Amino acid sequence: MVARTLKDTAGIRFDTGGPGPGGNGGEGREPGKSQVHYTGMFFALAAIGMLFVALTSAYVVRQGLDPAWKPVRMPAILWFNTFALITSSFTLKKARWALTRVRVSTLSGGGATAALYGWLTLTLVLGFIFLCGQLVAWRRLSLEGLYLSTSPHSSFFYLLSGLHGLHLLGGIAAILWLDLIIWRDHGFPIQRGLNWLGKLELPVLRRKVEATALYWHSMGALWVYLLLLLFAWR
Amino acid sequence: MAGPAAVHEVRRSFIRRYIFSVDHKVIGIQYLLLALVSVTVGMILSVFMRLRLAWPEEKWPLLQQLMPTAFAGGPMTPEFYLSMMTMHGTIMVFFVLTTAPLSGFGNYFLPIQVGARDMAFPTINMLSFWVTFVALGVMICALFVTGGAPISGWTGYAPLSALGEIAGPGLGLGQTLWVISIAIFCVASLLTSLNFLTTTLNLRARGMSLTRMPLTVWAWFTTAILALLAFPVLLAAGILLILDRVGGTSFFIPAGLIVSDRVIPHEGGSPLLWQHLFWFFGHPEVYIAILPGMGVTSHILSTFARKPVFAYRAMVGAIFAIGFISYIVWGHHMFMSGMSPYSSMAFSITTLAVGVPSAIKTFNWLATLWGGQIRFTAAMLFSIGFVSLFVSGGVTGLLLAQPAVDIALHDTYFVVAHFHIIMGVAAIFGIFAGLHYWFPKMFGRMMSETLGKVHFWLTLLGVYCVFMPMHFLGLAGGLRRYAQLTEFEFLRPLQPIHVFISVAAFVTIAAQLVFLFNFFWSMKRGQAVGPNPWDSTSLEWTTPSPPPHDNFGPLEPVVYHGPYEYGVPGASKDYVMQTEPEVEVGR
Repeated sequence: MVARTLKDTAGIRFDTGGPGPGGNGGEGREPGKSQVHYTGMFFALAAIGMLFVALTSAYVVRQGLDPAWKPVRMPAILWFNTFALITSSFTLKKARWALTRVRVSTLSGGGATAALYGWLTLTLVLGFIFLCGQLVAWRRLSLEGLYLSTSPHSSFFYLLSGLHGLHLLGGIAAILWLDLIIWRDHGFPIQRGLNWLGKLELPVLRRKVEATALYWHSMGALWVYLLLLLFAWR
Repeated sequence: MAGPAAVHEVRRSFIRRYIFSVDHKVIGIQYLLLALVSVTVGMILSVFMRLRLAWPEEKWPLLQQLMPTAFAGGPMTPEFYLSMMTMHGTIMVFFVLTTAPLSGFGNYFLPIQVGARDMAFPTINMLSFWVTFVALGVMICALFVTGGAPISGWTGYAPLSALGEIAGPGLGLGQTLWVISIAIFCVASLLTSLNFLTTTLNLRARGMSLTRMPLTVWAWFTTAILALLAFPVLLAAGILLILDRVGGTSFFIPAGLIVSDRVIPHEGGSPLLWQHLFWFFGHPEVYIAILPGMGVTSHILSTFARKPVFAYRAMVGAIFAIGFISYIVWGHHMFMSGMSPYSSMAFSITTLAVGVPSAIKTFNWLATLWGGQIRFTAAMLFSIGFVSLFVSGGVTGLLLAQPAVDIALHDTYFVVAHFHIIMGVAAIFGIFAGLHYWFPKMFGRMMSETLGKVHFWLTLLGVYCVFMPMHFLGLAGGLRRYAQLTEFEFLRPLQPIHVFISVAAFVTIAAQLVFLFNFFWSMKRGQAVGPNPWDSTSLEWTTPSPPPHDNFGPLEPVVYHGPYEYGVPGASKDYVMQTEPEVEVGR
C-alpha cells in the first residue's frame, strides 16, 4: 500500500541539511527491501567477534604468563569436524543459489524449491555432525584425564569450543526454522502442524536466508580461527 | 512491525499491551520504571553506607532488630558496609545509569525521532527488557542469600571475587549470583544495541538524512556502538570468573595464594587480566552513562534558548571522538595496579585527550546559550545543571589522568567525588532533564514546573554539598572503601566532614520525594497538553501526546529540515518543524 505523506513532495527542492526524499534517508522502509536483517546480523557478529577477541587476549596473556604452558594434543577427530563444517558452508551456498532461482510462481514443488530445502537440510545435517564430533572430541580428552580445570590450555579448549558450539546451535536453530517453513509452504504434507512457525513472504525469506548465511559462514570462519589459535599459535 | 504495513492500532489484551509488549514506547517506559525501582534500592543502600561512615560506633536498635547479622553487636558490621557499597555501585551503574538514559529514553524516542514506526526487531526489543528484568531479579536475590551480598566492590576485582566463600562473607553464593546477573545484563544490553543501531541506519523516514538527525539520536547511536563492543568483553570476563568460581579453572587466581591459613589449589592465573578485561568494558561504560545525557542536553539547550545548536557537525564529531577515545584509556584505572611507566604515559595522554572533544561540547553548549531567549523551564535548569556538573566532574578527571597525581589520590575520596559527579549525578541530571522535557509526550500531561524547579534547586545544592567536600577529604588522605576512618589518627579530625556529607545526603534524598510526588501526581492530574507544548521541532512533537501505537498514524513523515531550526530569520514563527515543507527563509 502507498502511505500518504504529510504533504505532497513533488517539485520541492531540499537544499538544507543533506539529501532529502530520494536521498539516503528512509531507503528500504518497504518490507521487501528492508536491510534490517543483514544490518542486525552484521552488528550481532561484531558483538560476537568482540567476545572472542576478549577471550583471545585472555588466552594470549595467560599463555605469556605461564612458563609451564603445556597444550593438550589435538584430538584427530577435529580434522573431520572442521571438514564437515567447511563443507556445510558450501552446501549453504548451493542453497542460496537455488533460492535465487525460486520464483513466486514455482513456490510449491518447483525444482529450485526442492533443491533449496535439500541443500538446507544437508547443511543442517553437517552442522549437527560437527556438534556431535565436538562432543566426541571432548569425550576423548576427558578419557585422557584432561578436564576443564586440568591445565590452562584445556580450560581454554573446552571454553572456546563450547562457546563456539553454543553459537553454532543458534545457527542450526535458525536454519531449521527456515527449512521447516519452506517444507511447509512448498508442498510437504505436514502443513497443518507447522502453522505456529508463522508466515514468510519470498522477499523476506530471501533476506532471512542471506542473514542466516552470513552468520553460518562467520561461525565456520570463527572455528577455523579458534583451531589455529588453540593448536597452531605459539 | 516496522514499515507502512502496520498503520492501524491493533487491539491487544492487557498483557500483550503493557506487560509483554513489543511497542518501543511501552518498553521505554518499562525501562524507566525499572530504573526508578533500582535507583530507589541503590539510594537506600547508600543511606546505610552514610550512616556507618558518619557515626561508626553508633548502635541502631531498630535496624538491629530488622537485620540481626548486619548489626551483630550493635554497630553495623564492616562486612555489611562493604556489601552495601558493592551493591550500591553495581545497581546504580548497570540498572540505573545504563538502563534509563540509553534503554529508557532511547527506546521511547529514537524510533520516533528518526520517523520509524517501531524498532527494527520489536520482539528482540521486548526480550531485551525482560532479560534485563531477570538480571535485576538475580542481583536483588544476592542481597538476601546466606552470607549476604558480595563485598568485592562493583568492579568485582579478582582474586577476591574468584575465591568463593573462604575469602569472606558474601563471596560465596552472593558473588556467584552477582556474576550471573552481570552476564545476563550483558546479553540484554547487546540486544538493545542491535535494535538501536539497525533502526537508526535502516528505518529513518524519507528526508531524514544523517545530518538531520537530532543530537539525541547521534548520542544514542554512538552509545549503542560503545555498548555493542564493550559488553561482550565484560561478558567474556564474567564467563571466565564463573568458571574460576565453579569450574575449578585458574584464569584469575594466582599460584600460592594463602587465604585463612589455607593454600588455594589454583595456579598461574592473573588478577591483572580481570582488571584489563573489566576496565576495557568499564571505561566505555562511563560514556554509555553520560553520552545520552549530552545528547539530551544539546537538544534541550537549543529548544529553550530558541537557537540552533552551535556547530552541529562539531557536536557530532565530538560525540564520536569521545566514543572512540573511550576505548583506549582503560589503563588509567590501573595506574595503581602495577604498569610499565611507558604504558602509564600512553594511557595518561589518551585520557587527557578526552578533554579536547569534551571542551568542544562544553563551549558549544555555552555558545548555544549565548544571546538566546532563554526559557528557564525545569528541563532547561536540569540541562544547565548537567553542564555545570560535567565541568566540575571533568576538571578533576584531568588531575586524575596524571599517573603521579593518581597514585596519591587513587584510593581516596577524591576519586569517589570525581566519578559520582561526572558519571552519577551529571547522568542523573540528564535523566531528570529528559523526564521533564518528554513527560508531556509520554503521558499527555505536564509535570508541575514549580515543583520541578524546587526539586532542581534542592538537588543541585544537595549534590554539591555531598560531593564537593569529598575532594577535600581525598586531598587530606581520606581512604575510600573503608567502613570506618576514625581508627586512623590523621583522619579523625576529618570526621565532621563525613557527618556533614551524610546529613547533606539525607536531605538530598528526601528532596527526591518532591520529584516522586510530581512524577506520579502529574501522570494523573497534570495539565493536559497538545502535541507540541514546548514549540520544539523534532518528529516526536508532530504526533499526538502520547503517540498512537504506530507513532504516526496513517501519515508517513517526510523530513525537510535539520532538527534545530529555531529563530530562523524571516520565518513566521520562531521555530520550523522538521516536517514543515515550505518556509520562507530570508537569507
